[in-house]
Amino acid sequence: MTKVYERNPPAGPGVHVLAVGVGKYPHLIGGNGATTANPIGLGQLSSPPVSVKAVVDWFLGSLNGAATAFSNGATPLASVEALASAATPVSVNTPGGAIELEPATKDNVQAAFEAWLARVAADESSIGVFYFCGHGVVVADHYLLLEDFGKSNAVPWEKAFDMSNTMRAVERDVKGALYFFIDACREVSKDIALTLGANPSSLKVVDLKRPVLRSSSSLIEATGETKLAFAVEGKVSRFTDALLTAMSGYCGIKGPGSATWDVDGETLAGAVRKLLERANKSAKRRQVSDQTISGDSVPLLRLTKAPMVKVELDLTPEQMRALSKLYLLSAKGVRSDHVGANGAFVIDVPRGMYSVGATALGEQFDDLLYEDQDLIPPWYPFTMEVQQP
Amino acid sequence: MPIVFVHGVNNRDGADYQENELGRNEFLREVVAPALGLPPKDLLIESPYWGGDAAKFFWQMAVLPDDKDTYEKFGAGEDIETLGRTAELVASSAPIEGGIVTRARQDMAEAADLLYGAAVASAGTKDEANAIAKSYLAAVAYLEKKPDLSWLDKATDDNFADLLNYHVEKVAEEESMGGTGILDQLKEGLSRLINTVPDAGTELLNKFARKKLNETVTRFTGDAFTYLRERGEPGKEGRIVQKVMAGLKKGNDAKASAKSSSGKDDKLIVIAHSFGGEIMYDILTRFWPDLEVDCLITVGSQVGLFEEMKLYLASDANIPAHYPDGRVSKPGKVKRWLNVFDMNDVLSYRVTPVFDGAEDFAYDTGYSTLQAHGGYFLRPSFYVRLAKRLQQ
Repeated sequence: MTKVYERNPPAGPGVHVLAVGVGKYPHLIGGNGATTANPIGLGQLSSPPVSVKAVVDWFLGSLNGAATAFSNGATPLASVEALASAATPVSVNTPGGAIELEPATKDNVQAAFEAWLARVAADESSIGVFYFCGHGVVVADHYLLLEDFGKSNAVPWEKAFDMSNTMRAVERDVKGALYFFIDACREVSKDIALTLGANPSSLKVVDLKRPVLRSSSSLIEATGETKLAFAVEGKVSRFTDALLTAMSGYCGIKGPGSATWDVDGETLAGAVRKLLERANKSAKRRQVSDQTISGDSVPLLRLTKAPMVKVELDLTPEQMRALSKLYLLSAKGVRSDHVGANGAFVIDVPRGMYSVGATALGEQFDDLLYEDQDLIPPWYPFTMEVQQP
Repeated sequence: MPIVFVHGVNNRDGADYQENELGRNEFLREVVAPALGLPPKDLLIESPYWGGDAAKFFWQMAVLPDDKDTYEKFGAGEDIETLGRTAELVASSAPIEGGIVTRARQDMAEAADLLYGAAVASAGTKDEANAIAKSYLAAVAYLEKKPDLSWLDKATDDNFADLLNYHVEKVAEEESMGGTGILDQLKEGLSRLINTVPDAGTELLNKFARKKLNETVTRFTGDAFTYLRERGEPGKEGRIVQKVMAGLKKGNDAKASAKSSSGKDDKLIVIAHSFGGEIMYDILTRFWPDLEVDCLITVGSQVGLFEEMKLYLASDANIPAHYPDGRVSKPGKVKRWLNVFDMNDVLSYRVTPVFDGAEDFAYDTGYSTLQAHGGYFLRPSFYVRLAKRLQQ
């Protein structure tokens, strides 16, 4: 069984999640099965099982009492389908106890997808969330590889699916909002392009005669076309980490008269992009999210607390920072100080208008002050500069 | 830090020249620059082109025997230059008998050198060439760790590139949810190595190699005569000398600019291939004797031979006064001079018997070849060895 949670009673608007993480590929390099004739350079992954578990735990967190987790009073969590392929089984904590996830084989994913689609389509105010983490390649469309990819040397691509066309099919079945988070590479492979039959089918056929029904669609991908997506081995991937951080109170906009801070596709996409940019500062290889947002603004999250901003305040030249005090002063009068000798000033503060400045401990430089700084989530990096005489 | 690359004979502007430059620059950037203590992105590479002023053959070398033997012999279409470079790579190596996996089982480093060399031969962009250079460095690091290569037991020629690339990139501790970005180039290179280009030792490749050697010697002779006739004299420099000096000036200006902005001493490195060595020697002794060069690297050059024949403007027939005693001093403003020669390259010569203060460095693949002369910069391993020598 791939369903790890379903609201009781199930009917009514709600958020329905399908999450798939594939790290174990028995027929790719390093797998425990017969390696497929053309493994296209791909092998085992350790991050996707960790990443999918983090995503599922985050959604279920609201039910389990976690401090930062999914929150949407108007459209609560209604169901979670999850699958994970890993060297060791992946378990998630649900209100009913720990559940071991089913492997992400093509048959299992197909069944979970159909169940998920039926639930999302049942109510026009529901929201569908589709998350995938694992190997991906691009030829004409974005192809995602499932655990049993390459099981048959004759038709290795039978155990993959066409994500691009799957989205087109879903958009014709669902009237509500859709969020697709795809954490996979998008390298264009000439090797595959020159292989007839290396084009997997979508998880549902696309009936082009039918109109697109969905009210909004947000496709947020880990990387751009021809580019790669990365993860440190055994850790939550770079993209998934940015996504979960963004959703954990680091983005949101308060509409006129609204009681909540809402996170729609556009807000989330912007935050993910910024957080990846932040991660790129220390990463060996650069990764930039690709995003397509269309339709109405339908919030995936409605937060009751103001979103936070990761502030990274610095002063150059470095020897001057050591002789300074850095500070933030909010429009509400809340002040935060930091001794420059301790390094850059790193702090999380609620979004809002601030004055930012630095004062010299002696008289080494004239005080610096930047008023009316709009600290927008998720990240505010600023290096003040002392002008040398 | 600037590196000025002065090309040798047999270089004429075109896709072949440009793609060679593309691959060479990225290997210099990724492999050699760090050995000089320089971040790859900060390396300035200046490559003055003088081939347009070199010898012209008014009947297109029709005097050569068998003049219709060209790259088209390999049945290629638009990719003939790439195939040509791959063929040169194969020709400068031991025969790939029994396939690339068989070669890898005998000598993995050599197989990797061939694979990455063939891949960079078709690099179409700077980014592609750079990615291949970086991956090659990862391959060198992987092999230096003496890894378990038991995966070769089940490898085939069809999936060798997949497997090598996977194991090389896996040690990077960062995984990608897809490929590595260069597998297509590696597989295309491998395909040319094992399918399109015939094995070294075959009649066709030998014929091709002889043809290439014949052309190289002919063009070398032509370029040398043209240069000697038209090099000019200090103050009235010929066009070839002017062009090379313009490239040197850019490098020297960059060095001076770096020093004035950072206050730190920068270095000017000059790499001169083949006849580029003779041009550099004339410049450093007569045309621009005050130019300070931190390291002059002559590769596959005939600098020593030309001094034996006393063909430089600065040549002094009184040295040696009494053979074999006495050698010529290296150019006064050259701090270090490395001369690289290949035992198999019939056009490369030593310099230490003739010059004081230079170092000879043998780059010996140990394989028999008819035409190693153009092969130095096609082999990724050359840059690694050069970097190690520069660090000494």
